[in-house]
Amino acid sequence: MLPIVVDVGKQMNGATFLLDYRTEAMLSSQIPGWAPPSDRVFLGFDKPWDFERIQGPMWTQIVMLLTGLSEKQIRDLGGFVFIMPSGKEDNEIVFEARAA
Amino acid sequence: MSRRQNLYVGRAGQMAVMSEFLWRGWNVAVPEVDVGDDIFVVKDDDGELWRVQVKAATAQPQRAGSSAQFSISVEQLESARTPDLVYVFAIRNAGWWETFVVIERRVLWREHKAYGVGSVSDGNLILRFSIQDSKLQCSSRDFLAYRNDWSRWPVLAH
Repeated sequence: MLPIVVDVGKQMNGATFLLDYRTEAMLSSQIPGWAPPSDRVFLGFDKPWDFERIQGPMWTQIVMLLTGLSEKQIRDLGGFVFIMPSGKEDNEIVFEARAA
Repeated sequence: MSRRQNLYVGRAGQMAVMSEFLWRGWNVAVPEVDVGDDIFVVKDDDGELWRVQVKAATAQPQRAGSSAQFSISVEQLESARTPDLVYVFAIRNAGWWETFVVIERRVLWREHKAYGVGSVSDGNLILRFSIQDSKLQCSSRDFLAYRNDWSRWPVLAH
């Protein structure tokens, strides 16, 4: 099963997170009535920002905000992976937490 | 069409889109240096900001209806930013700006990745819109919902 995929766009003062189109389709098909509670999350900072500022549970919390799912539901779906779309087949993986 | 003619059409399309924003009560600004964003659209009251990329083309008559072709950077299309980019494809047909295709970057990206809209060439995505009667299509996908969709920018009373 494909894990939940989150597309990441990094910019100087933060990063934008969006559910990947494949994940939106997967959640719509697997969870009756599912609709995204938000179409993006932006983590902002007023100085140059890097992914190191995302600590511990924050990655899961971003997925929860984008999907509206609980930690258990996310785990049961196979975990998640954050990628930077590159237009090529192998996107850069920013972070992943796949369920065993 | 010559490169110079393209510049004139592009600028005319940008002006037409700016005119629409101003008519709707939204302020517009043009970056001094063109590096991707054609227009910044600003709500005066609270500084709410939109980034808009305008592409313009003159429709070419086809056996049935007409079509207009555009090219956008794939790198720009795949990059999520906040605020995110909105594309406006301005299509000149039959002597006026007949159609504005207004579509968010993320939605166009999904159309491309999930449904194969457009074709990639040299780092650009080539989009060809077909217009016939009340139909608007791109790569056989129905794009009518994006036609003149200015709903993100409701008319503001000043």
